[in-house]
Amino acid sequence: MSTTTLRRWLAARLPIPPHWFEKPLKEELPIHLKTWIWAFGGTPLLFFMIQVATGILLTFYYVPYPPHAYESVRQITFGIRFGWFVRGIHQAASQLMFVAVLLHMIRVFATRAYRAPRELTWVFGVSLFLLTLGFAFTGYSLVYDQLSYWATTVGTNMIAEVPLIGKPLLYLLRGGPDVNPNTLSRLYNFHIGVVPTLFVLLVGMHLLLIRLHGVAPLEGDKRRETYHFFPDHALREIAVGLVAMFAIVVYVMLHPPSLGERADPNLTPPHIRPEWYFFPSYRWLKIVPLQVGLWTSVAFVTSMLLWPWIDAALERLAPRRRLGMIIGVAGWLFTLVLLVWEALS
Amino acid sequence: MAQDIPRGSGRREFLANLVLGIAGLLSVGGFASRLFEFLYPVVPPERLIEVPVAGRDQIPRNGGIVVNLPAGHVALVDAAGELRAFSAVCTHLGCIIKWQPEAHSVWFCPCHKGTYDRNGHVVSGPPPRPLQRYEVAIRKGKVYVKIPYRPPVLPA
Repeated sequence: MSTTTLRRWLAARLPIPPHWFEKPLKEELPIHLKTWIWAFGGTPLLFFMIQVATGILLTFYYVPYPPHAYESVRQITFGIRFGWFVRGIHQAASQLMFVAVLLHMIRVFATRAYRAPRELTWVFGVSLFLLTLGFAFTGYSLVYDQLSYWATTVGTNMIAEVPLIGKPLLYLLRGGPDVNPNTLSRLYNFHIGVVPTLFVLLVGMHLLLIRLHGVAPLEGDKRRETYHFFPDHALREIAVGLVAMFAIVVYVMLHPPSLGERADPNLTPPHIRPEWYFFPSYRWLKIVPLQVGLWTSVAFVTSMLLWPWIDAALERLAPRRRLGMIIGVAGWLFTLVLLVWEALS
Repeated sequence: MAQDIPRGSGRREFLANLVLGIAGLLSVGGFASRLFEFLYPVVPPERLIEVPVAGRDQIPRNGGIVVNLPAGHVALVDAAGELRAFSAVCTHLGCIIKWQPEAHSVWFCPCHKGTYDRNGHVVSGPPPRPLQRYEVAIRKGKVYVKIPYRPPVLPA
């Protein structure tokens, strides 16, 4: 069968109008995007896809039941052929996904691309960042070694401190008052079902809004030239993706994943610490009372979500003072200080 | 000539929309509440039980130990011959405390570095409340403690 015949056969069975593909591919992008720094928007999605692929592979062997969970992770890491590689890629991609989402957010923040009418694109973006943390937390809990178990205990206990709905929420998440066999199966379900479904829906909304609004103009950039999404921008994104994948593979080969001691609900280990991306909140909880820590965290996340409107209000309050930028940068720096403080302690 | 009435502006149409809206909300709410019940665990009530936790001679003078029982974690401390019992669960975020004789004889939580004294009171760090105190009794050289117990939600 020749290519033309095959194409005709397919066109008859899948009568998709050609402009459906051509329009997004030939989309005109402003010229300021034609730099490497603007080619990182697609990387979180790439890392997500890597995690979906490796995550599906891991479910072939992982057993989400406390007596077997740790043993199954041990088997994946040290027993099954290339299990270390698949788990390592899954783990490294999750860390890089967090970095990529954060870099993307910082870029959008710095260029104030969230301003009207693109507020909802930002809100969906921040929600995706929170879901990335949700992925990390639930995924880390599944390992069921000492650090993973106690991170789950501490992380879920925070919910109980929320007034009125804290306890019911905790019971719902844990499947009981304490960390029990239900908890692991619930966190597993969140990790492979609920969070990815929400993530895909939000990515869809995020991308749809970017397509509908077009790329945000860069403040102060008077250039009128444009270039096509395909091949110029797409190839740049693909190049970044390939380099990232190569880096992940090299990293995993040099640092294969490890595994701590089996979870012991009777003994909190002496040097407990969460994964590095939770360092800021971990340090913050050490230095302030619990209720203060909880409510400032809620306020921080809420102000991140509502940032486009807060920034606009500050702009109206003191035009051209860049109050929003000053407060925002101070917030980012404070988070960074907490992270470095915890890392060095 | 009949006047055009904008859709939705008539009283009849408003009432119809209202009834439909309420019916829709009730059906969705009813369905969602069943789903919530499906997911929400059936938590058995807590009751106080007395359990033997250790021999009196196992607790060193002016020292403390943590005993792990299926019913919970108990911290026992000797204060100049007087025995006290607490929950060994840190009131901050639920980690298990341990006795630290070398650091001014305090209960120490490794998670966020909170410390408690022999009376279970917070000495330093972020714990919001003192340790939960338990009633303790000594009979024939054995230490008995009354602790709140809740049967497991799922058989382990």
